[in-house]
Order: sequence, then C-alpha cells, then structure tokens
Amino acid sequence: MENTSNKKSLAFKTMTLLFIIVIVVSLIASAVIGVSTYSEMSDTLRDYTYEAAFTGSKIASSKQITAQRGSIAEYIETGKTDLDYENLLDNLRLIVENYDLQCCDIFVPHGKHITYVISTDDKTPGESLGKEAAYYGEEKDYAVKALNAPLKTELDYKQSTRENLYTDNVKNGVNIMTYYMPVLDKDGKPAAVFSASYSVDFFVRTIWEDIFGLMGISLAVMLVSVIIFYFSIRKHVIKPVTKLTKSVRSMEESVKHGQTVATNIHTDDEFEELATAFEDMNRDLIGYIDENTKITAEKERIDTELNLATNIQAGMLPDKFPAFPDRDDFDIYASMKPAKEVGGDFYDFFLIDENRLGVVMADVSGKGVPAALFMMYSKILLKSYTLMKQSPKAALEEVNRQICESNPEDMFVTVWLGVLDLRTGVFTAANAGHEKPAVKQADGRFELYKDKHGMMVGYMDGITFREYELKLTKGAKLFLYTDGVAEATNANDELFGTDRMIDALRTAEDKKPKDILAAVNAAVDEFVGDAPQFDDLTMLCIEYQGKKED
Amino acid sequence: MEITVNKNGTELTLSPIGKLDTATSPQLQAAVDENISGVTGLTFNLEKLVYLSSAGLRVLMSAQKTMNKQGEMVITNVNEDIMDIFDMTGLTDVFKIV
Repeated sequence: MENTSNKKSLAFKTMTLLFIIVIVVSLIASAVIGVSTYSEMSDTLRDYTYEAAFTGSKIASSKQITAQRGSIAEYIETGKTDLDYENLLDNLRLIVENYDLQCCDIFVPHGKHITYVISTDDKTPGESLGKEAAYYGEEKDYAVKALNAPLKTELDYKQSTRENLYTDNVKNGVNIMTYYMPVLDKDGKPAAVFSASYSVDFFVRTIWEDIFGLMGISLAVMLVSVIIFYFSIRKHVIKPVTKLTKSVRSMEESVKHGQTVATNIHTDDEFEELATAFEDMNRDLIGYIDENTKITAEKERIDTELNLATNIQAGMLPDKFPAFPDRDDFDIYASMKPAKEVGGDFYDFFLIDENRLGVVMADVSGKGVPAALFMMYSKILLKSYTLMKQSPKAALEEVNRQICESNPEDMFVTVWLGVLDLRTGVFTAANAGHEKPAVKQADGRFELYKDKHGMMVGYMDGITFREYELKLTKGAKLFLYTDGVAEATNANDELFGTDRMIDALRTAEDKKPKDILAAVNAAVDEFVGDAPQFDDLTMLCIEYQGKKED
Repeated sequence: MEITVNKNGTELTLSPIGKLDTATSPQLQAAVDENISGVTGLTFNLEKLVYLSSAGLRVLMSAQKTMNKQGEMVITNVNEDIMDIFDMTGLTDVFKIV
C-alpha cells in the first residue's frame, strides 16, 4: 500500500504547469522583442543602406575610376579592367563588408536591360563587366530616377528624394532593400547607376538568431528557476505531505498498540500546524479507543454475568420432565420464558412427603436483576417454610414476615401456594395477590377458579392469609400462570386476556399437561405476532390421577 | 401516559391517564416523589386509567406507605377492571377506595 502516485502526480502537475508557463512566457517575450526590434531596426537599416549606397556611389564617381579611362562606357566597350577598376572593386567589397550588404553593383540602364560595369559578387575582377541582364521588378523606374538625381557631395538628399531612390525587391529569391544612386563620369554627367542591396532575409535571420538566443537564455534562466522551485516544493510541500501520509497510514497499526504517531514535521509553517493537529487527533483517538475498550469490556462482563444469572435462575426452577417418573398418581409440567435475560416470575413444585406435593406460582414486582435477586430469595423462603410449616397460610405469613423485616426497595411478590394431598386430591391453597387459577374437573371444562385473595407477600408486616380447600376429582387439571400470559399484548395494544386463555386451554383440555402448555404458548404467540413482549410467560399445569383403584 | 397534578396546599391530587405499566410507572413515581413532601391528603383519581400492572400497583403501595406516616390517601373513580386487580391482590383491605 505504498502510495507514491499522489506525490508523483503533485510534482508532475507542478512541473508541467511551470514548463507550460515558461514556454508560453518565452514565446510571448520573444515575439514582443522580435516585433519591436524589427520595426525599430528597419528604419535604422534603411538609413544604413542609404549611407552605404551614398558612400559607394561617391567612391565610384570619384576620379579614381575614371582617371585613366575617362568614361564608364569605355570599360564596357573595351571589356578590360585596370588597377582603378580593381581598387574600386576592393573599396566596394569593403563597403559590403562594413555595412553587411548583400552586394553592390554598378550598371548602365538601357531600355529593356542593364549592362553590368562591376559587381561585388564577381569572383575575379571584370567577371561581370559588359554582361547584360534583365531588370528586377520595378528596378528600371528607380534606375532612371537615380540617373536623373543629382549626386550630392554630402548626405543631404531630401527625404522625398530618398524615397524615390529606394525599393524593396526580390533578387535570386532573397528579399532585399536597395538604394539606387547615380555614378558620374569625369565630365560630371551621370553615366551609370550604383545599387547597394541589403538582404532583409539576412536581417530577419539575424533578428531571429537574436530572438533564439534570448529565448535560450530566458528558457535556461526559467528552467533553473523551475528546478529550484521544484526542489523547494519537494522540500517544503511534498516531503511533509509524504511524511504526513505515512504517519496517517501507520496510525491504524499504532493505535492498535496504543502508541501515538510522531510525524516529525518541523517546517514552522502550516504543515507543522497540520501535523500537530493530526498528532492531537491521534492522541484523542487513542483516549477514545481506550475508553471504548473499557466500556465494551465492562458491558461484556455485565452481559456475561447476566447470562450466568439467567442460567443460575433457570437452574433453580425444576425443569426436568417427567419430574417424578416413578409416580403415576399425578403428572406435572411447567415452563418459564423470560422477556428479559432474567425475569421475576417463578414456579416451583416439590414433594413434602410421600403423600403431599407443594406447588408454587409467583411473580415478583419489577424486572431485571433486582427482580431476579428478589425472586431467588422469595423462592428459597417459600420452599423452606412450606416444607417446615406444611400449611400454605402459615408458610406465607412467615415468608411475609421475613421479607418485611428487610425490604429496602419495597418489592413484593404475588404467590399462589398450594399443597396437594395426593391421596384425596384436596388442594389446600392460599392466594397472595396472584392470578386466579384455571381448573378443569374430570367431567367439566377449564374455568377460572374464583378463589379467595389475600395481600401480596412483602408489602406489609403482620398480615394474615386465608387458606381454602379445592377438591380435585381424579383426572382433574389445575392450570397456574402469571400476568405475562393474560397481559400478552398484540400490535393493536389488545391484551390476550383470561377469556382467550380459557379458550386456548379448552382446545387441549383432554391432553397431557405438557401439551396443554404448548397449546397456550402457541395461542399467545399467534396473538402477539411480532409485537415485543415486556413480561415473562410462566405456566404450570398439574393433572391429578390419584391412586389406581385395585 | 399523561399525569395531571393538582396541588392545593397540603392536598394533592394525581390523575394518571392511560396505561400504568412497567414503562410508564416511573413517571407516576416521579410525580409522587416530587410532590408528596408536606402533603396530608393524597388522592389518586383513576377515572381515566385503562390499565394497571404490578409495577403501577407498586407505586400506589409505596405512596400508601408514605401516607400512612403523614396523612391519608384515597383512591377515587376506580373502574371495574382495576377494582378486580385490587380485589385479587388483596389491596381492597389496604387502600381507602371511595
């Protein structure tokens, strides 16, 4: 996961942008410089060429060339050169050299052509002497004008005259500017035309060379700047960013080990600020993670303990069925389904002696761990005192006394407690604020049994409970439950109710206690649907069969 | 659930409206705790109470315990369903129901 592409792209982007800027700036600068140089220089150049033409024609008109021969016409006629001619050629070549001219020529204009007298292009003196050639472009007009222009001894041609003597032309594919001047014979009359040509192409080339030179220098300077800039960016931007990126990437691993990441960025600028902010965040994060780990661990501990509590609580209720496999005089089945991990409902049954069975159904007020603790306490007390006193009334009164002695949370428990004499089928029972049981005698149907109620256990000290007797015929059934059954609620906020419970009981009233509980459970499940349940669902059913008559 | 609290000097009337179950009982307990100090006559008006669970009973019972020490508590407008619950739990002997 080494990520260098971002770094590269940042450098690449910067460099590309800088290069484009450098090139565009160079081009614009060169173009501006070139154009301004050209327009400035072309006037100067004309003056310059004019000066060359004037000097040349003056030398040509001087007595040197005509001293021996007398006239230019004579050179053409004889076709012979002499020392004067050669001197002139040398002088003209000097002018060409000094003024960077393309060439200087002297020629005699005729109607349709010209006759060369001398040309600096000549490789040997007299090479072009007497040669005829065509005019270039409008050369003829200018040549004629030049012939008629009076040769002055000083550079004092009027501007208008100068305009007349000058033309731009193309000769042998080269752009040239040419000044034409008269050349005078010994007698002072114009006999030939002197032309001084300056190569504009050469000039342009020179300018271009200058521009390229300039561009080269500016490019070099800018390149150096770009490189310096790049290194500066690398040092001040890319490196801190890379370091920071590495730190961020290593953070996940470090945080696992509770270590803070040191960014080591000391740039004394915004990056250091960012790095410091990152380090702070990192530290905070570790703090949060520590805290979160502790909370999670604590929560897990509580969950584990709640699970243990649930197991202990469930383990306290007799849940092995058949509970008394060697007894055929009764059948009993019970179940508890807590709404939370630990509930407040409980049931219990136990043989007091060979002939008597104690049965408990109870519901502790409240929910969760407090209810579970209170339930444990109540369950143990109820069983102990039932075994000891053997009378529900006496047992409840004693349990109530014990609980009221120390009940800081004002909790209470509703209890249905009965002792069944297995010989006679007589249930001696007391109801301490608990739901009415449902009873089915052998020849009848399930009905609610409207028993006498006393106060719930734990609320008030010193109260007395009332006992009653319920005679079960052989084959009779007794169904006990908590309010979780009657008060199971569906999505429409309707209660299951005892009427529906009785209906459900009746659908299975001829079956075994286990099947009767299953039928009620199924009816409740169907009724509540997906609505969440807040109360425990606890039920017990006992079938009295009595001693087999031999 | 809603609770109407009406306090007039040392007379306090609490009227819970709706269902008094595990989820809503703490509200009534809070209303009792908040107002009971110095009260000598406490009235629970159950006219608009539609359901009472054991958690709700516990609130009434603890209020009864407190009022035993500082005055009198009465419960009014008890409908048939709730009277059944009071009967079943033996509380008709404890509460003064008018």
